[in-house]
Amino acid sequence: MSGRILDRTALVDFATSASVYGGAFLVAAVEMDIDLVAPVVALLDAWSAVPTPDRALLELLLETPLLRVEPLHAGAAAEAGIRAHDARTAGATYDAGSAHTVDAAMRLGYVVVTSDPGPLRVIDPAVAVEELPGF
Amino acid sequence: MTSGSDQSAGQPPRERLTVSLSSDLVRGLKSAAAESDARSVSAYVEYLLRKEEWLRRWKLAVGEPDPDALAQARQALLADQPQPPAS
Repeated sequence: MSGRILDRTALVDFATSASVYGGAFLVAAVEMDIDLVAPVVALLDAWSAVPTPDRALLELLLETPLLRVEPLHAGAAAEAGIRAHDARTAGATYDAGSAHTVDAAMRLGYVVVTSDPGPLRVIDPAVAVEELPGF
Repeated sequence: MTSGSDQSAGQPPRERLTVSLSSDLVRGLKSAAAESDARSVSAYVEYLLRKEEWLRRWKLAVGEPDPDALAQARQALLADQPQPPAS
């Protein structure tokens, strides 16, 4: 069974209990032993977006047994940057967190959990996403 | 039940614990451990306990998950079929 990549929007959703589905998704993933991956740049973005009172929940989220943080070393930075090059030169709105998320998803063959697939598909329309329902 | 201690360099202290279980449970545990990524039955049991402890803490923090949302999430994870890219 494939794992899931958590992008910034998913991390923020889970850490702030923004949706009913988000918390349930996390519990289901843990119960079913699904590999979860948080790309480090998306995690940085999430830390910048999560309000202070919710930081403890983000900490707890990062202690999820099968969650690992995907690092960004020089080689991965090059791959992610090159992958985002076309979108950037075409004038599309681009952000580093989405670039790292898409690169991790394509390399690992995992689906990205997100509430906003737009910025991911700008970088690579072929990226597989599982959109968080709006409840 | 017996217990002892075992400590490797760089690892947190570990203790040895012997428990008695029915034979069918022992077979099931060994089988599940072998099918998992765990290095040993001990590692598998530790993973299960850590998972249960994390679930307890998460539910304490945010509450029990909504049953309908939980069912939908399980279905999504089982189906494992990503949405096609938007055209």
